[in-house]
Order: sequence, then C-alpha cells, then structure tokens
Amino acid sequence: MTGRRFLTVGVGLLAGLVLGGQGVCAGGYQVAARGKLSLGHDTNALEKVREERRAADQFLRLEAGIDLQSQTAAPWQPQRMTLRWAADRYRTYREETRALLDGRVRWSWGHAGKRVGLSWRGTWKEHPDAAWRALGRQEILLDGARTLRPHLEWRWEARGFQASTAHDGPAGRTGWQIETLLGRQWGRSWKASLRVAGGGTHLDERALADPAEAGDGLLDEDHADAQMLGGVRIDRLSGPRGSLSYDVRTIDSNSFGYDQMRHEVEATLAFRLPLRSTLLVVGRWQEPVYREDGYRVYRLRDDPDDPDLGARSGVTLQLSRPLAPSLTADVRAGWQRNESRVSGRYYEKTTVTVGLRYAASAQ
Amino acid sequence: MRDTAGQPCLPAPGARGALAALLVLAGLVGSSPARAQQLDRLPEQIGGLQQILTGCEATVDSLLQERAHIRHDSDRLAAERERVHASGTRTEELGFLARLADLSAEEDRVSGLLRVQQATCEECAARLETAIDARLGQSGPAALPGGVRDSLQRVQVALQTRNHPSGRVDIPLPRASDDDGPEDLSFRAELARDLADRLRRWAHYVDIHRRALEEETRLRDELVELLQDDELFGDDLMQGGENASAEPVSWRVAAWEDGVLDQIEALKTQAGIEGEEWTALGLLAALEEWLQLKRAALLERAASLEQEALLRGGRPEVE
Repeated sequence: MTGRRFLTVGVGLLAGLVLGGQGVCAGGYQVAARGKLSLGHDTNALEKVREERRAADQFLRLEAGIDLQSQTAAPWQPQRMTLRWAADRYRTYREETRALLDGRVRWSWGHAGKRVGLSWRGTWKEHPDAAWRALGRQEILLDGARTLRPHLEWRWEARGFQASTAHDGPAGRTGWQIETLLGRQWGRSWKASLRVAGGGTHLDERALADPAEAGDGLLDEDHADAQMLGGVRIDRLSGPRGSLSYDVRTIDSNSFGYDQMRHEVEATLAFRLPLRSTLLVVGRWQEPVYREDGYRVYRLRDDPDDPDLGARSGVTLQLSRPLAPSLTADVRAGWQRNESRVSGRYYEKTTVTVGLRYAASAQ
Repeated sequence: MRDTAGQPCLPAPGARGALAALLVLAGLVGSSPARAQQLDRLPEQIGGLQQILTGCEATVDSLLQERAHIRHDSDRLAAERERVHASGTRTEELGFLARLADLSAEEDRVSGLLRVQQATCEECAARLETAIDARLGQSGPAALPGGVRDSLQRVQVALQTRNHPSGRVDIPLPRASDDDGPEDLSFRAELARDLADRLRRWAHYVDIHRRALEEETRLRDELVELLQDDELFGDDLMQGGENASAEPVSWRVAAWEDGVLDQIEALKTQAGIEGEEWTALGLLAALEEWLQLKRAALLERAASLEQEALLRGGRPEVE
C-alpha cells in the first residue's frame, strides 16, 4: 500500500470520526470513533546500541479509528469491525517516519455457555522514506470458549498468519499457533489461568539469506521455526485492575539462528485517581537463554528495530484525565531495553508523549 | 446514651430535639469555617458511625437469635403441654402453662429491646447515609480517590437496601374490578404509588450501579488500548502480537453486595432482559428504562384508580 493510499484511508477515517461524533449510525451498529494527536520525544530515535551514537528526536503522531459494534443478533453479521490508522513523523530522522493501518473483523456465536468466534486481522506498516522496511501481516483466528462450571472456563484458539515485506519482491513467512487455556474465577475480582500453546513458522526462500552465507548445516529442510509455550496468569478484574503473567517459551529457530528458551513476565496495573483520572502501568521483562550458537540466516527486516526473538524489557506509564465528555488528555512515558538483532547488544530508549484523545460514540 | 454494644450512640428523643435546635441555631449563627471544619470531620464521622452501626446490627442479630430460641422453646413446651393435656395430670399441665407464660414474658421483653435497638440502628444508618452523601459530594482537594468512592458507594447502596429482603421482586399492576368500592380503589391506588416509589428507588440503585460499571469499563478499555498500542506501534509484528482484548466487565462488578445483585437479577428476569447478546452496560441501561416505564405506568394507574374511586364514591350506594 502506498503512502498516498494510507493518506486516503487516514482522511476517510478522520471523516468517519467526525460523523461518528455527530451521531451517525448504520445497519444496527453502534459507531464509536476516535482520534488522537500526540507530540513526543524519543531519546534514541535510531535505536543505536552505542551511547555516543544515540540521537534524540521529536515526533508528531496522528491516529484515527472507527469501531462498529453490532447491536443485533443476526448470525452472519460481523459482531465487530474496527479500523485504525496511525502515522508518526520524526522531525529530523525521516526514515523513522511511518504509517500504520490495522483492520479487524469479528464474528461471534454463543449459546448455553459456549462461544465460538472467527476473526480476521490485517496490519500494514509503511515507511514512506524507507520502502524496504514496509511489511504487512494477515491473520485468521478461530477461537472458542466453554463454561465448564460456574467459575471455570475453558478456551481454545487456532490462528494462521502470513507476513511479508516488499524488500526485493515479496518475501515472508506463514505460521500457525494453537493455544488452550483454563481459567478459574474467585469471587468477582480474581481470576487465574493456565495456558499452553504451540506453533510453527515457515520461512519462504526469499526470507532466508543465501545458504552459502548462512552455512549449509544450519538450515532445517523445512526452513521453519517452532515454538512451545506454557504460562500462568493472575488477573484482578475490578477496582484497581491488573494482571501478572509468566510464560516460558522455547523456540527452535532457523530464522534467528539461535535456539532459545525465553522467560517472559508481564504486569499491568490500572488505578482510578481523583478527578476521574487514571494511571496505567505496563511492565515487561523478556529474557532469552540461548541454547546453542549459530549464525543469523534470516534477512527479513534484519534491522535493529526488530527485536522479536531477542531480549525485551520495558515499562510504560500513562496518566489520563478526561477534559470533556469526548476529550481526554494523556501523558505517556515509556522506557525500553531491547537486544539489537544485528549486534546482539542492548540498546535503551525512553519515549515521552503528550496527547489529546477524542472519542465519541452514537447508538 | 449508650447502645447495648457499649458504644456511644444517639441521645434520647428529648435531648435530640434540643440538640437539633442548637444545631439549627449554630447553622444560622455559624460561619463558613465552621462548615469547613464539619466537612473536614466527615471521614472520622463516617468511620465512627460505621463502627456504631456494626455494633448495633450485631446486637440486633443476637436479640433476633435469642428471640428465635425463646420461640423454639415455646413451641416445644406447647407441644408437650398438648400431650400432657391429652394424657397427663392437671398439675403437670399447669406447670407447663406457667413456664409458657414466663417464656411469653421473656419474648415480650426481648421484642421490646429489639424494637428499640432496630430504631437505633435505623437512626445510625440514616446519619451515616447523610454523612456519606456529603462526603461523596465533596470536590476540589477533598475529592475522593476512586477506590474510596467505590467503597463509600457500596456502603451507601447497602444502607439503602438493608431492609429489602433479597430474592424475587413482584411488581403487579393493581387492577380494579366492577364490585370494588371506593375504599378498595383508594387502597389499590395507594399500593400502585407505593410500588412506583419502590421502582424509583430501584431505578436509582441501577443508575448508581451503571455509573460504577461505566467507570470500570473505562478503566478496562484504557488498559486494553494501551496494550493494543504496544502491539501496533511495537516491533513484534512479524512474530504476531498477543491480540490484547478486553476481558468483559460483568454487570456483577465487585463493588456490589450480593443482596443488591440478587434484586437486580430478579428485576432482570421480570423485565425479560436476558440472553447472551446483552452487554453489561446495555443490560443495565435497558433495566433502568424498563423501571422508568413501569413506574410511569403505575403512577398512571394510581391516578386512574383514584379518579374511579372518586366517581364511585360520589354515586349513591345501591342496597
């Protein structure tokens, strides 16, 4: 998708946002529209691992989104459709400028404590000043849930996805994942869940480096990554909301060249403060333990800002305060420490944004 | 005056009147600093009243238990007396009758204490409700954090519903039949107004509940939005995000007592608002609307019954 098309979608969404705010509603859907304008400061815009090369930059971010939620029980009508567009533009470093588009459609059917859902999600990222960094991803998700006892729920999901870049022609990978989860609720406030997941990713020929460069012995015949995951999670569902999860993930990787076992911890907290303001905190710690050495054989987005399989840690805080029924002011501060894919060394960055969020809905 | 739990409570009625008069005078003469001081003392006052009410209700519970024991003993003795009356001697029967009379006197004594104690609890509850209202209405630097507000609102609803037994809620629309006299019709009109008043109170509870749920939903949505931002703006697109999604907020938010929830459940059933297609907020909004409509219908019925009573009352009675 070109930058111009992105602009068209963005303008369309902004128009939808204004109309949504005016109370337009069609086809039995509740319309919710949102928009956000933020100014930000990034302390390491180019994600450099060496301190002396770090450069701070300011950016402007514009977001628009529309969310249609069905108010009828028509079985084949999508229950929910969302489209979200965002663009951020750095003041000095043009290659960091990007545009994002995320669309989702979901159908859902439920009866007597059983629920089945089907979703499609498409995401595209464009870097108008660095076309080689563009990529897109599509995913189909089939999920279900069943209430086993009043406080015991079983969920499952199966997803398939395809991701590609336009670098030297389409190159990408396809993957799948299945997951099952057992959740139990205590009272009305606490919930604990246990999940197990497994999946695989097949890398196409163009996504892999020249075998001569990679070394013949390092590639499996099927050019695939495989992963298994087991995890526990505790949620607090009311009052001060929050969650704490721990997952252990093992990855047999061709793409990264290193088999690894990852320990992934995530914590979220959401408080209500006086004057209807809220404080949100999200913390992550993901640390891989590499099981063997190897070579990087994958060149799909082999730039430092693709820390999929490396270490990732960070904390994000957001303070929000409604200024008017549809207008909210947000201040967000985030710190992250990621492992650079190229050098294997860590880089840090801090981002601070101040924004105004508009959200309106009509029934 | 001290309640039976040994805690200071309300002065005697006469003293209360004098105190009220003094308070009115103080209010007239008093200046805004006095009012500010009064507001500053609200948290302390609420804490104190809650403690008193807890003690008072514990005493009521123990008196109720005591009375239940007495009634149980009376029933047992009455059964024994019946048996003796049929087969035993007169002296034995008189002995049972004397013990029954003692138990009856004891029951009267406990019932008297219970009535006094219940009245004291009611008065404490009313004072606590007024103090909570004032505290919830405070703004500016004295405004409450969300958690404290929730907890006070929970106490407020518990106070407002403490005398409503939980369970089924019946809201029939009183009808007039041809052979009803004016007094019957007036009685039914009064009943309709009473029911309408009950529905007004319930609409108020549902409204408070819905507002609390809106706040819960807003908090949840903001957290999900932050996680989705991480997915969208982050760099794990190729691997696939976790698809942060909203854990549904149940209409049974934690801030509410089981009794209130049971009442709402019963109203929901009566309003026919059931099924999986309802969102929590949609359900409460629909319930509130149903309560308003039902209340309007009851008031209309009350008016028409009163009019009919007037008409029938004006007619000469046919022998």
